[in-house]
Amino acid sequence: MNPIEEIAGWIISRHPRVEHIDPDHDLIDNRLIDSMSFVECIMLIERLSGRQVDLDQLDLDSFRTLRSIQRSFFTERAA
Amino acid sequence: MSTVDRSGLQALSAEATTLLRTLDSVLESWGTDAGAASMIMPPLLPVESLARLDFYENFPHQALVVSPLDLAKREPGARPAHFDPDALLPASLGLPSAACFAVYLYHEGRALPGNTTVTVLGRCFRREEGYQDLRRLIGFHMREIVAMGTREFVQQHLDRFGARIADFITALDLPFRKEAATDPFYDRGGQRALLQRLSPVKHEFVVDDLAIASLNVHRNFFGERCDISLAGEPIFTSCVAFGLERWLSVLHKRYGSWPAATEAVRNTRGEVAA
Repeated sequence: MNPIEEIAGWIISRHPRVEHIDPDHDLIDNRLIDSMSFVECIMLIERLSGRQVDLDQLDLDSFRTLRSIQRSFFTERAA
Repeated sequence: MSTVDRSGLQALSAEATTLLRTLDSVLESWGTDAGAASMIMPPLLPVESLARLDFYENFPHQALVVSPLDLAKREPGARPAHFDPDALLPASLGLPSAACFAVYLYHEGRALPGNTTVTVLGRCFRREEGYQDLRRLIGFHMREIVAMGTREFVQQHLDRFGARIADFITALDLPFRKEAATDPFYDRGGQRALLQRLSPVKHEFVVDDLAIASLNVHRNFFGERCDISLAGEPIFTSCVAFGLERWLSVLHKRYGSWPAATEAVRNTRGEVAA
């Protein structure tokens, strides 16, 4: 399972009515990631990417969609 | 005007009442001009319903509830200054702290035919650590204009009324700032504060260090919790809210008397276009 599939699975496990998440679906506005789960999501991304996320430099747009998470944390450039 | 009243209970004089009604009719017309249905909501809400909206999770410090007396514990002839909890039956009704909760509960379980706007004048109640003349009351009037529908629609609602509020306050010659607000209960740190800081859900118009109007984003929270849908999906909601006694406070300070403030609102009403 690649990291994005793992993150999608983690989100779906918290939302029983959601079966599939489109890569461009806004996770914040649709409250699939909310204020309670946001920090847990960051910790999951840190574990899967093996790198710390700098909380002082956070750009919310990096977390908006599965595609932006992939681009921001799991591409060569992100390393 | 500068009466110190630690109970948070204040009557409005006839002149102050005229100002409140004049101001409220302006704000209500902003809503109805935008197609809002003007409605009256119940004065109390079931505790069970407010609990479903996480009210007692998020705002326990503000909550006030209503209990009937336990008639079996009644002492005939007594003139009590308060009732002890054991003289009361369980409290199953709550006083609303904001006018819009009732609007979402009214639409509970419904499929909306399209984007919808509703305006209400609510009497709202908040327990506070301290009260101060008209600036901070235990009970006050809140005019709200509520948008329910698509994500784009509810965002446009805030953009439109945010601009209109700024124009109105400017025309009334009240120096203001607009700022992102974090709820004090969340603001004690912890997980919830982080996302609020990155993506504020509340912006306030502040005059004389007093928030007199706010723009609020709820995303699809109320749509999900109240099962309100549009085209099969939970609706998004947003609202603009006005604390009317606070407007009275800053207007009286700026204009020096209730009639002068009322005149200013009447004259300004025509100046600010939709």
